[in-house]
Amino acid sequence: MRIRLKERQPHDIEFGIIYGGIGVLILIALRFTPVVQLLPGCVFKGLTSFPCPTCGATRAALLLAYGEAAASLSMNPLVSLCFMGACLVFPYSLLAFLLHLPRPSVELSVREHVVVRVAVVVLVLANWSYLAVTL
Amino acid sequence: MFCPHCSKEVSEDQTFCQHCGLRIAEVAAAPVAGMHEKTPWEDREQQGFFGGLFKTLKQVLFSPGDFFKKMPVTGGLTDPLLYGLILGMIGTLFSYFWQITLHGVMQNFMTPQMLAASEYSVLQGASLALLAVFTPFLIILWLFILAGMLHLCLLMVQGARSGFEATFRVVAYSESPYLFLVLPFCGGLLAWIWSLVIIIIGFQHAHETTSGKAAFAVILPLLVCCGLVFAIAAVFMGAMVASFGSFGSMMNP
Repeated sequence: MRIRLKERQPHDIEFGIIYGGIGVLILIALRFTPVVQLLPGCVFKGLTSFPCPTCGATRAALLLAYGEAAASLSMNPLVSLCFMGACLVFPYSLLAFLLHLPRPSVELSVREHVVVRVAVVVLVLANWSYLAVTL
Repeated sequence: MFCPHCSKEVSEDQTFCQHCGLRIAEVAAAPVAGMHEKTPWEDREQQGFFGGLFKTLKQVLFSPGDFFKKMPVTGGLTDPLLYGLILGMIGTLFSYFWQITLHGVMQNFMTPQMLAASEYSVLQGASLALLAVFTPFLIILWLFILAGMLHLCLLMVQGARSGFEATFRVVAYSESPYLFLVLPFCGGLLAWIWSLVIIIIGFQHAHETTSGKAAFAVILPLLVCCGLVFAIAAVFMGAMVASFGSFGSMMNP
């Protein structure tokens, strides 16, 4: 694995701004509008009585929007960490874009790609197991 | 080398094939199956705005395999985004129109419980009109969220060979079936299923992956993350609606 600082190329897509921004927007929407009253229930849980891997995502985001990080982590750790990541990535990406700063780029070998894929699957399954126990 | 017409062997320095007589150089320069060329929508300077729109619409709906085989996988997100936005807007506005006009008719088919629930619906009247104003913003967000989720799933199955831009382009062009929302009742379901099929075909060609991997990447989030998909869509839709509801109650205390 190689991590190096890379200058922005003209046609690079600003993933940090787009997806970090979406994450931040979701938190703002949950914090400042009564949206939670209008949200639907989980179809997966409704059909199977078993939580889906993203069950509790809205509640985790809602708790995070109100600054309750620990409660948010206990509701759905993976989703909560993703939103926390978005809150960090968005301002950094925006600053890097505006000030033409270099950004870190990770290069992985084929073997490391496989390891990352497996790690993601394991992480999702571990999170799902946690939800099955707690929700 | 071989003649691209008759497939018989010809020498490197020949301009014409000695077997079939056709020009070799011209054929080699012309686009062949599998080569990328601009979509009609991205070639609006030549095709015109409506010409490009209708040709793209026709190709995506009725020959998606050929369309995505030729579609360039780079060239920017703006054109596909604009296309997805236009088609999404047309579909959504028709959907709102049917919700308003058929509200009375729908009530005849509702149970007392459904009727009671619909009393609390703020998706009516002025709120609906205001929501329509914010629809472009919601459609753009939706396209990025969907493309991001599907690209992650493609990465997981080693099916993303052409990068995020290819995924986004497929997702944006697959908004085409949302034109079927002009049909009341069945239009939504028809559009949704047709769109899913187009995305699968699109991924298969744009990422040069197998249909199995493409289908798996599309169906996985539906099966596993149903709650998240609906919740993200509902957060943005609901935020607008809830704001308008509060706004309405302030105006009519």
